[in-house]
Amino acid sequence: MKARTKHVAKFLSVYALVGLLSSTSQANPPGGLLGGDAGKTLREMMQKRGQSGNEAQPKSALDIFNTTKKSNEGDKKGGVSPLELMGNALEAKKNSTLGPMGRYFAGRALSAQLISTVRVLPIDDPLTQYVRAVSLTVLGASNYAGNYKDPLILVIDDKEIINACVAPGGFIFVWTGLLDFVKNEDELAFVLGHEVAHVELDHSLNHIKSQQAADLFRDATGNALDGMGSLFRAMDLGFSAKLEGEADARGAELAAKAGYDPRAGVAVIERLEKLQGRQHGTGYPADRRSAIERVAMSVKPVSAAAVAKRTERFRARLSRQ
Amino acid sequence: MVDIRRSKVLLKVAMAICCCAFPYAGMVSAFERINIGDEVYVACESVAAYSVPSVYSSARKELRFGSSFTVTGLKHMFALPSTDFSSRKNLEKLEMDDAKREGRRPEAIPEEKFMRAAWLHFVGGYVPASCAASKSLFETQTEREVTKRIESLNLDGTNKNFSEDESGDMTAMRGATGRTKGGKADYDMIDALIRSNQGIASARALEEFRREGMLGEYK
Repeated sequence: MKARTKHVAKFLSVYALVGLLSSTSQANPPGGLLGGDAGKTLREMMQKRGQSGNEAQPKSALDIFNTTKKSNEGDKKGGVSPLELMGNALEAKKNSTLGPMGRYFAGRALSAQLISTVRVLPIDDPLTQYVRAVSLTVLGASNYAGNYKDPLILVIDDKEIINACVAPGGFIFVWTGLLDFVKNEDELAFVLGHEVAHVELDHSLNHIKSQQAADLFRDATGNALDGMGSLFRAMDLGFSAKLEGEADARGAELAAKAGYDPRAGVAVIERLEKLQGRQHGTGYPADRRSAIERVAMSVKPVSAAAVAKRTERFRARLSRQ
Repeated sequence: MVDIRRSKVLLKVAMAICCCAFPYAGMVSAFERINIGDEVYVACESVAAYSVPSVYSSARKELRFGSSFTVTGLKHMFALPSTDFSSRKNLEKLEMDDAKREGRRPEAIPEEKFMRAAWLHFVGGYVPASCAASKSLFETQTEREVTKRIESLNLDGTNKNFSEDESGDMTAMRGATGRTKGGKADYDMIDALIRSNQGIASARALEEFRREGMLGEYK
């Protein structure tokens, strides 16, 4: 059990996805996850103009322009004027939405990275077929009901790993370790809902945007932003407690919308906490149950008979492994 | 050592900069703002037009990539998440700052600035908004263009602070992903899987799955 615990992934986070991000090559950099190259456009243009070294720290948003202006005065050759900065930002805006095809290609790149080192079950394997049906039912309840191509749902054959992850564009991965860990279909649906929620809520995109904004700020002022400048830092800790809380709540909503019992999420979290002997790292809210319970209270209760029926088929499908 | 309080303040400032630079358009949102009367284009290979705004309903017709329609209704509106730069919370904060600076009372943020539609209605039925694109976005929906965009992203320092000595969650994380770190992307394999996956999820089988499990339209 100990050995297994050692390998337990933070399955209710996007760590697998995040891990992929950290491992992507420069050809497919982490920022490609969801979209936008605003930061680069701004950053590069500013760097090209030698914009750095101003020690003044802006006190308000608009001070960034003043700071930049001062820098310009100090160095007539370089720097970006407020108008240029605005222009660059507007230019960057054009690239901020990847669209259906962009999401698909970003997800494809991440998935290509993942499958190169794992063993996936055949797509016509009965277990994959079952997980696909659950996944599509949950995905259908989300705001990403349509994808560039049919969603690809794969089961990774590794019982040591309790994990699931979702990449944009309709790529869903479930480890067999997770299938062993969850007790029924409703629990599996909650986990999938949580992961879909991270993508649906654009947590990665927004994280990247924050990072890019930070870089813009740093480049404009010459101040390094220790502690927030690195996306990897967030990867290290998972998303913030706030984002994980959002994904818990939205994941429960998606499961409920699809017809599953959102309270199953509470059971999963409780078991995971027992298994890990603590809450899941610093990136999770202190009380994950309450967000899920709030959702459960707001929807029509799911009949025990329905849960039992699904549990029966879950067991039947898994026993065939 | 991280000075969290300082970082938070700086983050707020940095976010405000973005909001100032992108004043009104929800520009950094991944969800495009689409209005009634807009002409939009299908940017998925194919998508069904459903009888009601739900994939659990019957499909009326199939729309192919590039076909266009005029939006006659917006369904399943949702507020952008609070973490989105164009969320109500962030727009209100921006308006508060602007109002303070300009010495006026803050104005209410119109809903259309932070609400988006998950489904679009047109004369032929309902289509998921995630498959639709405005003309300007649609023009970018080419493999070359999106690949360029994806590859152009470069977040410096994403490996900063990574330590092989990390324990706890990092160990757990590596359990799931560590083997991936050195892996070379296998596009042949993923493309083969994607190809063989197309069209295998039969709508009928999925409906039977939902009926049996009392899900979706059968819940």
